[in-house]
Amino acid sequence: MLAALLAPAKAPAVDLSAHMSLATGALWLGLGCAVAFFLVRPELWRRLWLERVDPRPAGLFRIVFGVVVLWTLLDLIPLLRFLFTDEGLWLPAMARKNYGGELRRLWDPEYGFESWWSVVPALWAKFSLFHLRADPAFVWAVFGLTCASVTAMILGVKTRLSTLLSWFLVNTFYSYSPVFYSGGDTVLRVFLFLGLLTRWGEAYSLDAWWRRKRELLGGSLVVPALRKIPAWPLRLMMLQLAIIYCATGALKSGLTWFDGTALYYALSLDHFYRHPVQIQIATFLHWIGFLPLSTWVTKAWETLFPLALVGVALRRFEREVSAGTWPKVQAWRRLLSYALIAAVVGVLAYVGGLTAWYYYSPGEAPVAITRQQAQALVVAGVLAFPALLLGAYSWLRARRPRAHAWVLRWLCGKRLWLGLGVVMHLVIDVAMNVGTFVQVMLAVYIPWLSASELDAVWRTLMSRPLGEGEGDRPKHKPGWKASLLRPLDRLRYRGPREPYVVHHAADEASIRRVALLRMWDLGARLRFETDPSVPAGALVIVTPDVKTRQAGAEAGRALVPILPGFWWLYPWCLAPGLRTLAGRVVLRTFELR
Amino acid sequence: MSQAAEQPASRLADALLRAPAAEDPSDEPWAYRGWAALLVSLFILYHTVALLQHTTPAAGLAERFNRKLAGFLRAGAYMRATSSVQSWAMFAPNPHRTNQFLQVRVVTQDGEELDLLHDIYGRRDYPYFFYDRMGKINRRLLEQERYQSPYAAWVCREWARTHGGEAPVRINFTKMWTKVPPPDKAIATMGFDPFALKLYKEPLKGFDCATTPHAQLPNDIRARYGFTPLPDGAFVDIEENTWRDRADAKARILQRRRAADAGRGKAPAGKAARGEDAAPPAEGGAEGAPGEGGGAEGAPGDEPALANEGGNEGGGADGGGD
Repeated sequence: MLAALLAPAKAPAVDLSAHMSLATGALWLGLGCAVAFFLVRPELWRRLWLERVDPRPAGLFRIVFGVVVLWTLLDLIPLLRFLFTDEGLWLPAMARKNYGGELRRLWDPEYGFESWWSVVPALWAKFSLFHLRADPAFVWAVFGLTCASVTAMILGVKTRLSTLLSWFLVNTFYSYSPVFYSGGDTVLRVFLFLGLLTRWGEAYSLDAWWRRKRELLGGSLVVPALRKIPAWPLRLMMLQLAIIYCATGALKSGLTWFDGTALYYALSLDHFYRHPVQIQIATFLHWIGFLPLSTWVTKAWETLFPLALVGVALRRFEREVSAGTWPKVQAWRRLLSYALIAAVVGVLAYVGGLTAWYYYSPGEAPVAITRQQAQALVVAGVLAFPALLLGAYSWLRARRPRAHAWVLRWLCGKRLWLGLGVVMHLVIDVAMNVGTFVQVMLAVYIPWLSASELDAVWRTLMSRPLGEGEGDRPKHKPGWKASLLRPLDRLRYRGPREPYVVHHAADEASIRRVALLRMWDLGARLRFETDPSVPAGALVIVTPDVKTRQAGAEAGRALVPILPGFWWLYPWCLAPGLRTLAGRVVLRTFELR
Repeated sequence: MSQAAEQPASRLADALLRAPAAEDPSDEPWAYRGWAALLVSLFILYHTVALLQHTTPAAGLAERFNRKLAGFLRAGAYMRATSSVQSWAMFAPNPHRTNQFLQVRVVTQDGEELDLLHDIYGRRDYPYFFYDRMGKINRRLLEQERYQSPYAAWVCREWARTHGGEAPVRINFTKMWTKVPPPDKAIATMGFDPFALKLYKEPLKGFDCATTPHAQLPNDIRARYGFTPLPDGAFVDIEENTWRDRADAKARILQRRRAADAGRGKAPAGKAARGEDAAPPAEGGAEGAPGEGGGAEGAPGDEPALANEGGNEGGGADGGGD
């Protein structure tokens, strides 16, 4: 595979037959060694894939990703007739013939399926309901059903079933024909399948809420916990994102990515820019060197993105070593696993060297070396690179703890790789219209977050900036420096806001009902006080800004800003007639009054 | 009575309202054990290797390995079945350096030629807020010519649908493009007006509405709109070769064989001895009649093969796109 990447995109035809069999055998050996590594070290495989993790990042991903899927679907409404109905681009027979996979052989428009079991191979190949029937009424009905199932998936209603249905129905649209695909659609399809494998309904879902509510009201002595979920689908999502970026970075092999003009051209294309005036801005940014630099950073960032995965693994290793939980294995297993890794590197070096020998042309190289020398250089490079990396890491770890920490936190840290990605995609969205590509790419960053990071996000959202000199926040002398630092300090130094105090009756039923509020209180803004003056089952709130007791629908409405699960009600609270209704929705959710 | 009811309310309130949130009570660190762990592990291994194989270019010395691995894993079928077919050639190997547009014109029964304004050249409203997939499709028609015939067929049908069922005569395509000036030229004028760039034009192959497959509004849709049906034979269909077509073809072959056998029995001995009619017609359309090719999978000769079952499904796979 390395050879494939090393081979130039449009390489001249070279007769490789003399070494093809040898290289093929070597690559099989390399693959075998990689698999054998995990057979020798199964504890690493278990850590990598089979552990259980907090379900909250997966739950948030389901909601955000689901919203992007729904948005993409709704975006298709103006083209629904053109793309999917028999009054559009394809009559079903043509679409079936070109894109129907096995269905075109297994199904006859007049006689149906050849046999009942023909449905199985038809489904196994690409399958779209519209290959069977595509009149406008049917297409619109399927579209409505798709939107409903995606909405159920977002809300977490019968999540496994609604995800399966969403995957099937969304693919009914995508499998009909690929003529309208963009990069964002491909990301969407790929991650929807991975979502199907994920138990992403265990948090932030109505399913989880109903289960926990039932347990709490049924007599549980603690607020029921969220159930942990298998980590492997989330890890596959991380691997998938790394592949997307690495592949797209490696394939950007044209001249414009090396001479720094690629972004200038991309921003100047009629099909993408948001306004033609941007061309002047792009030209200026190219002139001052910003765009060439951004071009190189983009290519390097994309190609090297898998370093973020390395960082995740290294931080886990260091954390477990510190905690003393990293598994100790027998020396022979450890040595054998090292030998297997060395064998994989050896195979890559061998095939890489051969590739250099075949494709290197001495006449075109900047430095005059022979083919044999080029081959030796590549072999030495591929062998030395991992050894150097490992040596440097070990040296830093032993001798330079601060630099080692910097490598873990920054060079291989999520803050660099994901942070740069967020900035890059936001800039793309401002400057170019590429549909929901940006939104789906940002959504698929969520599986990279840990539960504690997500908790920190909620607490930050619910916190307030500390005043100058308050807590850890430094006090700067007035001047331009202070003005520049102020916004950063406001983001960095945060403190908890005053709590909302929930007054409740002392009976068991009232306690259990107000305890339900804790499941929605993601930013830990609520404090509870038993108050004999509050009637059983009633909700009374004292908010930090109003300071007076609010009861009934008014209390319910007061909770909307601090309970993220009710943020969708916020616009209602602004409309005078609907404020009370919004409050009642909150009260009904917790069976309070 | 619940267990908790026996406790003082304050202890219950402490437990439910003030204690730290409970953790998942199961202390099992692993999601699976035994056979379940093995099965899930095999699936993860399979998916990972298939994904790496699918996204790595099959080129150079890795070509045969890549191909054999794909065959061994049936990676293509798996990727299609799971709708995970992907290609990530976004702005690769280079972003486009030309703006391309396909002008679509229709020739009516009166001989008039009208521009249908399907291309976005000079027609987009700015700021460009709402994503316009038609712009992308218009560009894709140029990048992947196989879409031109179905698109022309649709234009014919759509014209008929919106003009009382009367089809136009022909659809003509013209490729139009402007070249984005290189940065050094743009810097000299600090930008450029994209609509002042020279517009190049090149006429492409056109399509007749009477002979292009599926370019005629079929009778079921005509009935939907109350149009008179097409004359017999006017609709140019495509060969589908379904299981039923193959079964019919086989039945016809068998029938002919039986007829030949029966004829041989009645025929003079000399004729049978010479072997006339003895050889069965070869399957695959040896009879010359289209659609009789038992088991033949290929597209009929006059139908451009649009098969896109393999890898070219990823967004942006069409060279430098988005």
